[in-house]
Amino acid sequence: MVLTIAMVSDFFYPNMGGVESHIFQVSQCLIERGHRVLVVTHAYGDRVGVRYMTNMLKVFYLPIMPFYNKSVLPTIVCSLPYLRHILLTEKVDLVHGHSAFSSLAHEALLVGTLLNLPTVFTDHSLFGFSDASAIVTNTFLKFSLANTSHTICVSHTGKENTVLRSSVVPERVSVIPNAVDSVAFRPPKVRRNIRSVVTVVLGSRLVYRKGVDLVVEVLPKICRKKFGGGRVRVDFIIAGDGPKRILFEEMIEKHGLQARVVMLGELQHSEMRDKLLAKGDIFLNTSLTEAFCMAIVEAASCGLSVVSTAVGGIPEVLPDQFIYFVQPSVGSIKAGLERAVEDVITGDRPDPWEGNCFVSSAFNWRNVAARTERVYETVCGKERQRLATRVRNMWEGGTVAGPIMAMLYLACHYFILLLDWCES
Amino acid sequence: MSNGKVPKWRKTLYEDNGYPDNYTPPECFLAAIEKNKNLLLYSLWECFSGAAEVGKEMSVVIIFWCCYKFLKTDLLQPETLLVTMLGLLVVGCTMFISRVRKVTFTGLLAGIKTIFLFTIIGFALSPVLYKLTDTISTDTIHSMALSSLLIHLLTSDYGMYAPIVSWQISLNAAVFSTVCLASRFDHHLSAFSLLCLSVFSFLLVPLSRPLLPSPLLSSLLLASAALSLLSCISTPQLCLALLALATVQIACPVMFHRLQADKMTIHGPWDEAVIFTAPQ
Repeated sequence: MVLTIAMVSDFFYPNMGGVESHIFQVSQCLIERGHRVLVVTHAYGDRVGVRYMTNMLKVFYLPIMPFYNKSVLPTIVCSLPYLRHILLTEKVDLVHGHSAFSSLAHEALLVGTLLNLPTVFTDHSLFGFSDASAIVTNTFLKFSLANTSHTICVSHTGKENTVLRSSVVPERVSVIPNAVDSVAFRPPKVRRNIRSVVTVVLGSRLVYRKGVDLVVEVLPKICRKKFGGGRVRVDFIIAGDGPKRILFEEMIEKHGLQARVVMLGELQHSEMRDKLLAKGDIFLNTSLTEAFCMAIVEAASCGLSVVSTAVGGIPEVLPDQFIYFVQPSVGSIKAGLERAVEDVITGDRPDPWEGNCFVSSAFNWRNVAARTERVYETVCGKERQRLATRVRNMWEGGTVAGPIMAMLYLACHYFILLLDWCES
Repeated sequence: MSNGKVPKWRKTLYEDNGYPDNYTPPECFLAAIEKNKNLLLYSLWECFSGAAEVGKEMSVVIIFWCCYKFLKTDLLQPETLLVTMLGLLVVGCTMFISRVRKVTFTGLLAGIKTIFLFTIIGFALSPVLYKLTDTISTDTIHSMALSSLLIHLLTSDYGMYAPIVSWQISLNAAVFSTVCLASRFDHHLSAFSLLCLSVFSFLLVPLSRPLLPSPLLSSLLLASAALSLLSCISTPQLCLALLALATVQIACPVMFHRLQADKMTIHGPWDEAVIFTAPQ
């Protein structure tokens, strides 16, 4: 069955990131499987209008400016005419929204259900429950997913989190992990010979969420120690930028580690392999929360040993031979790193190409696209819900918010009827 | 699956165990969820004590307002007010020094110097002070003063941390309301006495919190003082104040205590990890 799929999200090229590359790669693989894919996103600076990317991937840059956190302001009336026009003229069969933080995706899901199209939503991140912003976001997510046909999450922990946040039925949530291009992220041709230096690399945004405070504490302790019977030392390479970068600079100054710790600053995603991962033996990840963590899969694909905090969905991603799990505390990370360094020195770890083979078979984009296609087929095969049922789903979403959202939904429905009448 | 046995479902993403993507065994789904972990529950006594702090501040605001009205109608002379405040200040200081914090002689001297400086400068500037908002109409003045006193109440420190708490904003709001109200006077001594009263009641009285053994008793005393003063001014205002104090000090803590039973927090592997700061 050949489908025309509209991928909608606020996050797309020229912005670089996990969601963006996910959308692009899955679209390319779906085009390879014979479907027609278009991408709808907001304008990036001068980049407005229709552009074509590789393999005739049509991208619509809607003339809406981002408002907060690279997302547009969620005024439904502003984007509804655009989305309706695109979905009708392109004869779209299915709407696929990405990322819970993208308001454009949620609006597209709303318009999709109003036009009686099957809709799919992919959630890429974990979210809390306790503070006020979380409560508001979760309520909106609940209404957004009330009429969505199917949801995809990137890990089992992500599925539990999404089900709790939005009260969807677990059978309507599939778990399809992200993937990594194992050809681009391959080990270096010449295997690094461990003589006197073991290199630990770190590549993430330097913010609190990524646990960089812990790294700042651990780093001097590890640098002071000698391994392998006193002949091997550990050096660090750190890529990324953020508000916590100053902590690293201070720590380097304080302990005089300028020769041992290299700060690369912000790196492009295309440079990650050559400038960072190809130069390291161990990859350190100390995130405090992570739904999937593509960075550790990229590192495993390049043949590095991974030391990571076991939070969120990370325990599900790599088997024990490729990863050392630690707790988010200084002592635990230090112990884990010491173990990993000793194993690197003695050679007691899998061959780098073994890691690459594992990642290419377990996490590849074609597999992700095939599983996504299966979701699409399930969703397209289901019977369409009548307007009354959809409004009822909204109404039952809450005591006060439910009726309000249901009336908003109906108002949008009449708006679409008005636009239909205007165009005829 | 060639031996005929169905493989066990594992919570991993890298192996295909033959189950469909949307399948999770019911016993594994949300297995690691914990509800109401580390829940902090308050006893009824703690609820009432906490509410008493808020009630005290509200009573102080009402007493301030009554003093302003009395000064305006000449029922209270500014000199009487100043002498009373001085007496209370001396008593409070001695109690504070003896009970709470030991102060050296130089510290005491510095404190007396600050009070002296403040008094001199305040008195010298009070003719300017009470002309500042002279041209604005009384209704506007009263509404501005009341809204800034409300901001003072909202941002006061009642012993608990919250993002809205800021002693700088609360003190400034209180002093702003004084400046507004001082313009209604005819003589600069009344303006000065009102300013002294505001600094005394909004800056120094909260410092007496550690001196008082029981917040409930002191809040009851202050509330009765405030309401009895208010009864000399107007009865509708008295009823409203009584209602407000009763809501804050009685109804709210009881409701809070009852609603605690409905608390439900969810914890699980998706939570952001808390960094252990234990020493190595």
